[in-house]
Formats: sequence, structure tokens, C-alpha cells
Amino acid sequence: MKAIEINQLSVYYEQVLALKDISLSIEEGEYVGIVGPNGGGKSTFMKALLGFVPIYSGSIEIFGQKPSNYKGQIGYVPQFSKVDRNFPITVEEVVCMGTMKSGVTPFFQYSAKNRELAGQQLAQVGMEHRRKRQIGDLSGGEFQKMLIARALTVQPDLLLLDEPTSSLDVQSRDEIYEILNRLKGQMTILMITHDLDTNLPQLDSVIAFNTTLRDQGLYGNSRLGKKGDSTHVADNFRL
Amino acid sequence: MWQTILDYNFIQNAIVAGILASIVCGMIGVIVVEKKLVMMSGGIAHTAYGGVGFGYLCGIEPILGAFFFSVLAAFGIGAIKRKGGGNSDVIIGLFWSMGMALGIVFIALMPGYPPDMNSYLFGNILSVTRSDLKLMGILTILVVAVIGILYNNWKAYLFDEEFAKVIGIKTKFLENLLLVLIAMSVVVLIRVAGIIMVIALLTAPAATASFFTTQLKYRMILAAIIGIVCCLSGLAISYQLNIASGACIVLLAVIVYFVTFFFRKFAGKVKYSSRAS
Repeated sequence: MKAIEINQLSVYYEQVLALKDISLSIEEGEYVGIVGPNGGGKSTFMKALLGFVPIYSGSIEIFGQKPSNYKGQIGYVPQFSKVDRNFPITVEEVVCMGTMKSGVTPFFQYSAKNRELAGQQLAQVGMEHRRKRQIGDLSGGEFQKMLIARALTVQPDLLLLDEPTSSLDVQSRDEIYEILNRLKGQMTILMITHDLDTNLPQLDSVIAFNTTLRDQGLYGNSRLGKKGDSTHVADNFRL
Repeated sequence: MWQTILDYNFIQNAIVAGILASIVCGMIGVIVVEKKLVMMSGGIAHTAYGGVGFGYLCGIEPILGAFFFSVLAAFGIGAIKRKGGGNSDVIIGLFWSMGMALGIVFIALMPGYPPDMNSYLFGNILSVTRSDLKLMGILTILVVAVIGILYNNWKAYLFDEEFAKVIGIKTKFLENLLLVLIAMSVVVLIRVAGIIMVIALLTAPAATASFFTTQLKYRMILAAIIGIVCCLSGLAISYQLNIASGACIVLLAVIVYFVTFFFRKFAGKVKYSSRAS
């Protein structure tokens, strides 16, 4: 089954044509890297999948549904620099947010089941021991793992990550990739990345944007060049 | 002497008004500080001046005019920001000055002698009437109820609006509701601190509370307590020294913030910095 099917998609972002005439499809369970230069439309593509920006023309289907109908079933990990790290909240509370009901729910309280699920996802990313800590106490890597745990609490079929390793040290970056590698096959994963060197060997395929779709290829395809060689990838995708 | 003073109706009204205003400050102030809406709140407050003038011109209660204009300003600023039609600083600045200008124009258009607008500009807690108190009481109950009933929704919205939207929380509804709550709070605070100084009461107690607790709900409660202490102490000082009550209350709230900030900083205990610092 196709996880994502996009036909002749064009999207304007703040009066600029950010994506033009994009057509592509992604299979269920694929682990896909989205690459491209700054301003090339990677983030707009993700926003379009999330239903945050209006579609100018063309169509998007996520598991056969429009993005607006697929709300509440996507796990989303934003760039951690965009989230307030001084907000007064504990790790457990953040992860529990993934269990919240859609709409606006008066008197909503997290149940024991919600907390148990949050605990399981924290354990999956190796953060269970930090569940009662304030988020301000976490390192950058721990903060990112917490955001991944929150996205997993949604129990998604599709996981979207926006540069999950930007500004992280090498060890934290490797830990994040290890977590994603473990999730590979359990759900469809789309990740915006500039980190071609380290990340590429784990990916099933790569999509390259620069307003238009420059290329989409399965990893192992000759176009991608030698395994793990980012220079070849950049050249072959004409980035 | 204090017993005799407390028997005066206007003092009793002032005390109740101070407590109500502080509760609103505690709850909405923490949200305003966390969501970085301080300047937007200032813009809404100053637009209320147009409503006060409009109220006088049309012969309706000026505070109701202020509420009407505050809500309009809140939605106006919010809508223009959402549509990305301009730089938000510019829009807030324009609403800010337009509200003040409208107030002046409306008063100038009134026949006869113009009313004294000082109590709306600078606040005069001693002039709060029973009908003011009724309106303040209703608005305070509404603010507390809306924040309390949707507490976890607010928390998700404040921490990460984008994620809240992804999981299907109606963030646009929450944003509009928050704008109305800020407008309500401004109306509650106008009589206490005045349009010009509303921002200080909205932010100073909330920012001071952020030094002491890392839990949102305790931060709201503590901010309300700090607000009550500042309001009642400011009231007593203003009465004793025969100076303007609004200025006294605001100065006290600001002094408490800076004293706490420097004390915590020099004690090396500032862990969670305040957005207002």
C-alpha cells in the first residue's frame, strides 16, 4: 500500500512558490530522507503533509486520505530549537501530550493508561529514568529523544521528523539514528536531513527538492553512488 | 485607624477589586509571559482607550466600550498576524496608537466639558464602583473557569502549538479564546493599574513567580498571591502617602520582580529564566 501519494503538487509559502508540480509516492514502511538546499521546499513539503499550508494545485493522499482527514494519526517531531526548553513542564507531561484527544476536551486529565503508554515510549528511547524531570534539565539529545517519544505515543503509521539531529553532538546524533533504525519497518518514516554522510546508509530512499522534485531514488540504486558517500548523493541529486 | 479606614465602602471596593485583578493577573499573566504575548497585550490594552472614549460619546458605560474595543483589537491583531499580512510588531504598534487616537477624537467630539480620563489612563482603584465590581467579578469567574476547565489543552497549546495542531487539538479556537480572555483581563485591570500600566501588572507577578516554581499551575497561583500582596500593599502605601494608587501598585510589583531577580541571580539560583527578564 502507498503511504503517501502526491500528484502534481504546487504549494505557495508566504507568497513564494515553494513547491512546483511535485509528483511522487512513498511505500508503507519506507524510511525516507528528504534532502535539498535551504529554501528548497523541504519544510514546506512537510507542512503540506501536516495540512499546515494550503495546496495551490494537485493532491496529497496519506494512506488514501486527505491530510486534513488524517489528523491525529501522524507522529511529528519538530526541530527542537523551535520548542521552548524553559517551559514549566515535566518530561512525562510532554510525552503524555501524544495521548490527548483531538478537538478541545474540557476537564481532560491523563489517565494511568496514558501515563503507562508514555512510560513505554520513554523506555523505547532510553529516557524512562528522566520522566519526572523538568524539561529544562535535559541535554539537547535527551530533549530530542523526548520529542520522539511524544510522537511515538500517538502510535502513528507515519512519523515525520524535521532535522532531528541539527545542533546535536556526534554521540546524541548516533543515538537518535539508532532509535530511528529500530523503528524502521514498524512505520513509514520521513525525515528532513542535511546529514547525508552519517544517515544515508540507513535510509531506504532519498527525495531531493529544490522547489521542483529533483530526484527520488531507492537506496542502492546506482544513481545514489557509493553507499554512504554524500558527495555522490549531492552530485547525483544535483543539489 | 486601619479599622476605621476599612469601614469605608470605597476601600472595601478597592480591596475586592485588587484581589479580583490579581487572580486574573496570575492566570492570564503566566500565559501571556509564556506565550510571549506581552506587547500584544499592551496593544489590546491601549486600544481599549478608544472604547472608553466611545462609551462616553455614546452614553454607555465606558468600561463596556473598553471591553468591546479590546475584543475587536484582539481579533484584529490575531487575524492579521495569522494571515501573515504584515509584521506583527508593526500591526501591534498601529493598533496601540490608533486606539489612543480614537479615544482622544471621541472625547473631543463630545458636547460640553470633557470627562476626566485620568482614572482610565493611570488607574484609580479607589474609584471602583459596585457596578465595576460586578463586571470585574463576572469576568474573573469566566477567566478562572475557562483556564481551569481547559487546563491541559492550554498546556499543550502553550508548550508546542504545532504539535497540538498535528494531534488535532483546535488551536485556532484556543488562540481566539485566549485573545478574548486577554481582552477581559485588560478590562478587569484598567480600573486598578490604568491602560498605560496594565502590562506591568500582567507580567511582573507572573515573571516573579517563575523564579520560584517550575509547575505551571503553581506559577499561576503564586503569581496571583504576589499580585494580591502588591495590590493591597500598594493601596495602603498610596493611602498613607496620598499618592496615585495605580502607580504605587505597579511600582511595587516591578520592584518585587527586580529585587527577586537580583537576589536569585546573585544567590546563583536563577534556574528558569523569565521571558520578561
